Amino acid sequence: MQEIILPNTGAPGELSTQRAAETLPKEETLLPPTDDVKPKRQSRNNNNNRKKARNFNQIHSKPLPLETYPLPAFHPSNPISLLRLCYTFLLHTFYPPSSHILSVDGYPAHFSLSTRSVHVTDPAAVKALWEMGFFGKGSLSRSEPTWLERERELQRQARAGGGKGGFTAAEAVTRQRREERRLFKLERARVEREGIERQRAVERGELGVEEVLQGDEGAGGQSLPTPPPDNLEHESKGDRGEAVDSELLDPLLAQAESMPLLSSASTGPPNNTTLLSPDKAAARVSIHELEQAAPDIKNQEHLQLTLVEAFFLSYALGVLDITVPPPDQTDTQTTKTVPHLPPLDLLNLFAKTSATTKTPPTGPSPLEPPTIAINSHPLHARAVSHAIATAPLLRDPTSTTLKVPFTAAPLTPQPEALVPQPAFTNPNNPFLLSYITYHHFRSLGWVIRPGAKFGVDYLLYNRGPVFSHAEFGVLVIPAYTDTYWSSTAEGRKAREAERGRDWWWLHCANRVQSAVHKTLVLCYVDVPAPLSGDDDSDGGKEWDVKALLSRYKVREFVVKRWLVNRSRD
Amino acid sequence: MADADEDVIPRSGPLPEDIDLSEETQDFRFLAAISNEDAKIPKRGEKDFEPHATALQSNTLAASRQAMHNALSFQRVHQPKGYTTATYHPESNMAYAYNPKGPLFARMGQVLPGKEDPLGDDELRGNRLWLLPEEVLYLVERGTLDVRWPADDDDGEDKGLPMSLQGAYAMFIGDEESHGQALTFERYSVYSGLKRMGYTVQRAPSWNSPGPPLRPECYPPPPQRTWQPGFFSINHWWKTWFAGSSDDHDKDQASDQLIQPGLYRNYADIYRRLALIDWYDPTRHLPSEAEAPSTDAGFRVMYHIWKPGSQTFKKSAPGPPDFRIAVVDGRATAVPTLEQLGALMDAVPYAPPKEDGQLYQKVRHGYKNVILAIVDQGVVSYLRIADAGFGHEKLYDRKVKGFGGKRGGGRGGRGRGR
Repeated sequence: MQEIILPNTGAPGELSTQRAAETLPKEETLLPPTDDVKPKRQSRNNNNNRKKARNFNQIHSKPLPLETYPLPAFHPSNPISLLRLCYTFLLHTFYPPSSHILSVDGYPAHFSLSTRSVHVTDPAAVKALWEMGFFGKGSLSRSEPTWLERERELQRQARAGGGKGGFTAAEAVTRQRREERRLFKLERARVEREGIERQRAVERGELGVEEVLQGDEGAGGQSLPTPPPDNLEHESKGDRGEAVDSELLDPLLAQAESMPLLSSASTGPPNNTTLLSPDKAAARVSIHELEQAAPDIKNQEHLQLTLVEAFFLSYALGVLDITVPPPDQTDTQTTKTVPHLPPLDLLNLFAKTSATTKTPPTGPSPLEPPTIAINSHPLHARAVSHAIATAPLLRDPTSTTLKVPFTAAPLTPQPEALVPQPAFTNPNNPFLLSYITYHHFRSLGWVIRPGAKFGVDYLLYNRGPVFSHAEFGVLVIPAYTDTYWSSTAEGRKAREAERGRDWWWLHCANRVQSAVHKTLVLCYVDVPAPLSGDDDSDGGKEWDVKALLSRYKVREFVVKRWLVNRSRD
Repeated sequence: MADADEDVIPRSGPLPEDIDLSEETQDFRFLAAISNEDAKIPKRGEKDFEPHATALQSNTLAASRQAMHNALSFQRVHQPKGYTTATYHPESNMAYAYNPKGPLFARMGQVLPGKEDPLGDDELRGNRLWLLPEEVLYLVERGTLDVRWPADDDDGEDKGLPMSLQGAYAMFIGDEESHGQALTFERYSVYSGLKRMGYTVQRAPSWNSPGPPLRPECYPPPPQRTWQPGFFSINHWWKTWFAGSSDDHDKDQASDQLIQPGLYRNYADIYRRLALIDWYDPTRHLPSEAEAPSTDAGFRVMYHIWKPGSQTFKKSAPGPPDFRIAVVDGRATAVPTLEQLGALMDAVPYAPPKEDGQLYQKVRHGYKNVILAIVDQGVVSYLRIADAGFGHEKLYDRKVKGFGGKRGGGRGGRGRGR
């Protein structure tokens, strides 16, 4: 067996990571690239072992998962361009291509009730939805679905036995950075502790002043420790092991520990066994053996779309084909599925799913305030702490930790919720409010993504998360200007259910946004009066989703902290 | 990198425009060194997070506390140079002074014309400066003014009993409700805070009432009918000719999806078809006649302020204010509803951003703005709320760095770092 240096380009998992920087032909500078430019091509650079930067402009050149066919530019000085223009025009007239050519019947997706989201597993669909518009989130990744590539990379590195380079996902870089910061904080705390100890010793009279000065010089000259360069190779478990020893000495460090512990626990790969296997001699391996030994990892990750995104893709763009399991069947069984739902029924289904009711559904009123739900109101801290404080403790004799059951309303609604009903009399539904905001900003061209990371409802990006950080954080606030909400009894009851927002909440949100260099936007969604279904013909079956959505109005306000000191000049 | 946002951990600290020195804890030992002539802002000291049981730490803390105690117990005296006496007028809850000297009075107080003067149109009216309750209170706190109760005797020489600071607070704030003048402690906090910073503060017309009818400057100008510059240009008709079959999709069968499969030339067309939601256009509100404002009592513009270095301010002709402040009680009100905020915005003049500004600046500046001063038991925080017109900034129409531009590598962004 001979040693073979594995080039970075040969491995199977790296197709998507390296794209050649294509230069577009000069005449198409202002138009998006036409379909004769292939963005995916592997570079044949065998000598280049370092990682190639991904060309995001190329990958994310389409803002939506639809295809456009611009006409080639016309240059008066170049007569051939005129011919080309005419040819393309005639071709488009007689054989018109479709904008939905990428997703002829729609990308397949299925609705999952237990997670209140829509899952996409088809790899081509996952790639298309992420690259063209930044829809969804990988369920095992931070945002872009990179789990499979990370797994393959880890396996390859374990087999190769070391060496840097190759694909480093965003999660790995973040982990490394957090590790560095953790070490830096430990070092800083240690230096501080020594300073305090010395001060105490001086006051007790044990240490002379000269020794203190010497100690100060030694400590002052100590620079920040540089973190070890190959942090990526360390298994997170190993890091935790090292840190535990130093942690026992000082309770001060416990706080610094808990944060990286949580992060490493969440991003550590689930299969530890392949890495800890002693493959130290794996440097001597052949390609043939490698290919046979590489187990084909089944992609356990799917792309998770929020209900709002799924409805946008399905109704507004028409590129998603959502299958819904019938109500008498759990998610795991896939024997039969309900055929493609019309948009109104889909809207009803999503609206119902976004809100749970406190009482069992024997006569649920659509205006019942939601208690605990995902995708709509967040959990109120006081409610959670109260529930934990009053719940009985469960002591499992086999486990070493206490379990506190969360006695709250069940997350899954009762089975009748899956049957789409034309009970569309509640326009105050949180799903609808979120969707209206989402659709509004999407139609203006913004890339809008969930903003739970920064305590807001949505984040607005100019082109996408990979290009720049979000400039705006949007909070959705319902507004009830219609007279129905103030004059009738049902209207007033529905208004009481809305969360009272106080100034502290707004100040918190504003401070968080300014700390991360964003601007807070309050988006007031004016909720119309509910449609009275009895007046419409055919029992209200003639409702149009477009008409329903057009009844809402949106008004945005930008909130910024005003400083008295800074505005004087 | 997939998500540049995750790595924006603000290690550089807050932006310079967000630093408010009045919020940082000051090292009060430096207060002991301050005399009247030199007023330096004390340097911020090192912050300790826990007791160390070192004598050094406890000594430092004791010294700081002592310095603050000394500063607060400093006895304030009236300087004989700038000594001014004012007399309290119980019926109108104001005070008047005769020809007060000093730079402060250049921007405070007013001489009332004969009809409005509560003391009548006598020969001293021109010299009599009437001070509003908040002005009086601020000056008394500061030590420039000595307010006297009205003299009982008719002896012109006797000045009347001096009013103590407690008395001043009791009359000018505590007794306000009986006079219906509506100076509350919250409004006074805002007033004195701004005055101490150097601003010129005056009451707005909507101080105690919904306000005067809206003037035309509150509304955006009506659109001018001009020929669009590109109307007859070559690009335009060529593009409409070649737009092809994409315009036939306006059939009303929006049943299944908004964007029907078909031929689209560019993404702007697709985005235009997606425009479904009605959005508020701040440039289009044009009523036929002047409307009466309907501002909510909790959300009204109360103060007009001018910047300290403003050259254009004159008591007789103040000019348009630099900022408008609405004082909000943080404990009694919640985040405003759309009606309250809309009514407040209606009463504020139209101030659009510059036409050629950048996208983010235009949106952040907004078309109308107002500053809310939220007072929470004496702690004031200011929020500037602007009516943003996101609908005017259509990203797909911008050609700067359009979709699919061939310039390689987007903006580096913060925290991408690789």
